[in-house]
Amino acid sequence: MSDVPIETATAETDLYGLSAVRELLGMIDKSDVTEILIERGEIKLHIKRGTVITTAQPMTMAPMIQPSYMPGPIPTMPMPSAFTPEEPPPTEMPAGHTITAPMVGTFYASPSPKDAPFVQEGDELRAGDPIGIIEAMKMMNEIESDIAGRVARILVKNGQPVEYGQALMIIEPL
Amino acid sequence: MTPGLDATILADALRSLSLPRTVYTYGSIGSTMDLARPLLKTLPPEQFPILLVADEQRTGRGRKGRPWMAPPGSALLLSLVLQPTWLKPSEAVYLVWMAAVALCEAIETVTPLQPVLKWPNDLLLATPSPAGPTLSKAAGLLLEINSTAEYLAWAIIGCGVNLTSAPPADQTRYPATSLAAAGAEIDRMALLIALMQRIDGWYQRLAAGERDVLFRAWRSRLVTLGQQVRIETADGLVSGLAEQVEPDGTLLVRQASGELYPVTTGDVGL
Repeated sequence: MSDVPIETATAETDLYGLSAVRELLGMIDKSDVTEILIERGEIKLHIKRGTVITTAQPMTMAPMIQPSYMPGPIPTMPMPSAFTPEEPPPTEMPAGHTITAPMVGTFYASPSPKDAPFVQEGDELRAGDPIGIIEAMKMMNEIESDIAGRVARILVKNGQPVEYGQALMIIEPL
Repeated sequence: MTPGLDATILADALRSLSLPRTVYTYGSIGSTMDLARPLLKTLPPEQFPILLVADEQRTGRGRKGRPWMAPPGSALLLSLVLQPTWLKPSEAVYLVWMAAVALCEAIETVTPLQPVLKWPNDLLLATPSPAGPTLSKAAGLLLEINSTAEYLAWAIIGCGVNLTSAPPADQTRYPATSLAAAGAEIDRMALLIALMQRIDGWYQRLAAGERDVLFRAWRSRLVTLGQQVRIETADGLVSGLAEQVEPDGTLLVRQASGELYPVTTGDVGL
């Protein structure tokens, strides 16, 4: 990553600093640099080869909103799509009772890596049956279904970090 | 091999404490964790907390079901079953700190050793080696908990302390030692009583709201802070400088890129 000076003289007439972006795109095209991140006060400019993300207001640049690196020529000004990253189409959720994570941690689908998963989609459960484990700091919290029913949808993968209140499974009451 | 533990003598020695209310001692069993679980459904509430101690575990386990083996009588092996329904699920981490701090203090009470903690709760002791004193793992703690969305229903603290024997280096992920190898021959009963006294004290302080005091006691023993670490996480191997722990126990690792990586789950390696 390289820091490149950026002029702010155009800020009044060019609120998004597009002229600077164009200049940087030219520079990045002629060099081996793959990524540039510039911060000046409240202005943040982040250019990655293959993508352009720029913001006029401070915001958290969470890695998840950055499109993955794609080798190849720089696309011609892909600004609109860069400002509004595409989201996957909404998935229709089955109706039923949602089991949520009672704490932050890592979700495990089975008691140990060599064991079979507690449940799979379609399995029937009794109230109190274990559906997974959430681990944090050597604590294993065995998550139980609080109702009887059928596992309609498993929403988390084995080994996936989960947040407090995150939906883990949907149980269709029987 | 140290003599087996007598439940009556042990219960007498612990009578002045508020916990445990029920004591079970065993010779050779599968694991105290496995025997503890059914008791949650069969014993009445007034018999909790429950302490289970074994001479030998044939199916003792650590994190991710890894086997934890020790010759009969060579280790202090126990499970303590609590029902801390006054804790929220997000507060269960206090029990991790409580067990780790209490174990360090108990060892300090009955030996001249000075234990430290590898995040979050592995107990390390300086042990002589050809290359000089090396911090090696002498005890491990594992908690199994059960909660509703609002509160903890129960917690089982599992504890294994190597007293006179430690597994060979090629069988462990981290160098292992024992209290004896670190320089202290200690009676198992004496350590167990000291441990229960310390847990009893901290459990009452925790119930009285002294959580910050416990956090500081735990953090002050973390030898991990300020060290370069390698941790297996859900995102793969994370390495960097272990800078700080947050009030919820999360370890913050400064990666080479400059980014801070928050670790809630994982084994800190060498």
